[in-house]
Amino acid sequence: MGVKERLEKGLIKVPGGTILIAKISDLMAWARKSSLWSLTFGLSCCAIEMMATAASRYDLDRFGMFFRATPRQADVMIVAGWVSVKMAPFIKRLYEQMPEPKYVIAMGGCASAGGPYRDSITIVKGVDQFVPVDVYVYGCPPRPENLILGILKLQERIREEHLAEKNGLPKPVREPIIIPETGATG
Amino acid sequence: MKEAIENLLQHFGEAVTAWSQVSPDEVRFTICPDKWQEVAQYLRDDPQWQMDYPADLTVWDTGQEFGVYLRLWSSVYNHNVLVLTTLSRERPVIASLAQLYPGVNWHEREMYDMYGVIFDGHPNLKRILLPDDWEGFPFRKDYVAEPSGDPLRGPQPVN
Repeated sequence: MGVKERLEKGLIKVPGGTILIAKISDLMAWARKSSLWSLTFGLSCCAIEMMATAASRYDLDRFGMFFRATPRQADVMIVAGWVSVKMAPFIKRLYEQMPEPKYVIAMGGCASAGGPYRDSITIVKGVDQFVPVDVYVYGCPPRPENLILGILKLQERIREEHLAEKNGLPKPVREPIIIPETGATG
Repeated sequence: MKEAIENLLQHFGEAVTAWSQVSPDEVRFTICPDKWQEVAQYLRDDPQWQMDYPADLTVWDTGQEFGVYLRLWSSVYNHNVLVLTTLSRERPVIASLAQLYPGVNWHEREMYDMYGVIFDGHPNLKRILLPDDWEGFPFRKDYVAEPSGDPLRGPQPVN
């Protein structure tokens, strides 16, 4: 197989050497998916699980992901918790301040659809009402494993998106990824 | 405590419309709203009362009646006092106690926020929990609202 054909599949390593050969676009996609920096965004109790996911037991650093305190350095926004009407404009503004390409993970029932506060007049019925959501992680709150699964699925999507673009295929329709609730409460 | 109650009743006369002693160390006064600040100041400064701790200040709304009540506690005598007054639902204006008890500043803002009670003389009477552009006072019994359709805005009051 020639180098050209092998390049179509992504990264190749020169045998016996320390050299990687790849297209710039492949490298970019690989780098993008492998260093998703997240915007620190704890809104309520889901934030506790998000912090646990980032802490040593589950260790989001394994996936090249850690939290930034500014939207200008963030690639993905994990909305962890309920969103009040008063908070929503600030979330929208933070989302607009993030550089493209940007992704949103709605963590938990509240960020996905309002959760138990759906009938409340002051709670927004899901963060997808005003920002596009890529991954919904169900649970109340979701286990750290579920959040990690959502992140891994998002990484796959980033990879696929790029490959489709490269091969001249139409860009896949961005149907939201749904991570069902599992574990002790699922 | 008996003497203190008698002195208070004598001092305010007609302004106290009803009172009852519910337990040896708790007494309730129903007063007319224009003496709200004077009664609170009297209870705070009179040596027989010395109600130095504002335990609670909130609104009650039964659908018909609408009013505010203040619960005070004295760290000297361990006495509790509940001061009630009724207000008109259409124009609920009452004197602010924020100068007497700085701790009730945010209570009064929340009461304004949720019930629309206007505190005369409050240093910074604006919404505290709800967004600044919120319409209506949602904790009132007669508050009826429908969704505005915009997720970034609150519901719109119907009446």
